[in-house]
Amino acid sequence: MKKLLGLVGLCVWMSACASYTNLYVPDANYLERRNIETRIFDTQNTKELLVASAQLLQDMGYTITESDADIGVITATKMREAGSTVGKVALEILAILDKHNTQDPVYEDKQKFFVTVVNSKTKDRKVRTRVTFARITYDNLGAVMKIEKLKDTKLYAEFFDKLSQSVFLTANNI
Amino acid sequence: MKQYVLIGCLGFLLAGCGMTVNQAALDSSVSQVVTRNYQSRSFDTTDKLEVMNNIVATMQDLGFVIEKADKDIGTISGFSFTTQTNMTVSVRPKGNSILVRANASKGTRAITDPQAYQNFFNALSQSLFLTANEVL
Repeated sequence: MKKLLGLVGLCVWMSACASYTNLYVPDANYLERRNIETRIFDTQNTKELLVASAQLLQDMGYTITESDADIGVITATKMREAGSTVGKVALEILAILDKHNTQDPVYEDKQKFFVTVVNSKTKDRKVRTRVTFARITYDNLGAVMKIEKLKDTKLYAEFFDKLSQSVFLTANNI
Repeated sequence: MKQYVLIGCLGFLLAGCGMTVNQAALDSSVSQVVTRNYQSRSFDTTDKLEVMNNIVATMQDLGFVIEKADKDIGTISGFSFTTQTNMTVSVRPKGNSILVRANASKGTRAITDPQAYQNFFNALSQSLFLTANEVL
């Protein structure tokens, strides 16, 4: 009992004194990541690129939640299924078969994606586009499982390929 | 006896965290001047858009998703997926410079460590330097 109380007291004390001294220090490879997340487009028309970005986000099933043409920002979100359906069914069946089990199985069920696209002019009159992806995953009971920034280089390369395509399609009113 | 002491200490700690609704709504226990002081930094430029673009870039470096941006009012807000914090940054011209102010919170708690804001402004300062020199 004493130990438990001591532990609770310690937890309360520690949470009250959480240190933020190292908060907002960029990590060592942030410049490298900037490069992965950025592509320069040989156009002077920032607005055209913003429209093409919005079109692409719609292609990918996103809902646009914020946009500002002056700053060149578009943010969008979408909710998708996470994990394989087969795996989920297998977990449910195992839980039913296990007679000693009294708890519902917990597994990754849904994921919400967040994407921010930013367009700005470079000094040599081109447009710099930077995109960042992040996601939150939820379990089947609705609790948050994971909050993360997506860092896969391939994801960003494919996005920019699609954006180049979207610039062409949008310019030709397709 | 020891048990009572522990319970007493715990009660004291918990009581210290208690706030009235008004105090919580207005954060009235903190001096406005002190808060503004460590949450603000002045940058030697008059280009508001350039500063705002670099705030967005710095926030992206720190894992933020931009949730709100308004050039006219000069505010940018976002949520960081790496630090799980919310932040609003505002920009306003002041003579021949631009005054940038940030305020952040994590969950139910405001970030009150001045060092966290210094870190953010240092990163912003570096970003402004990099773009001014066309490094990125």
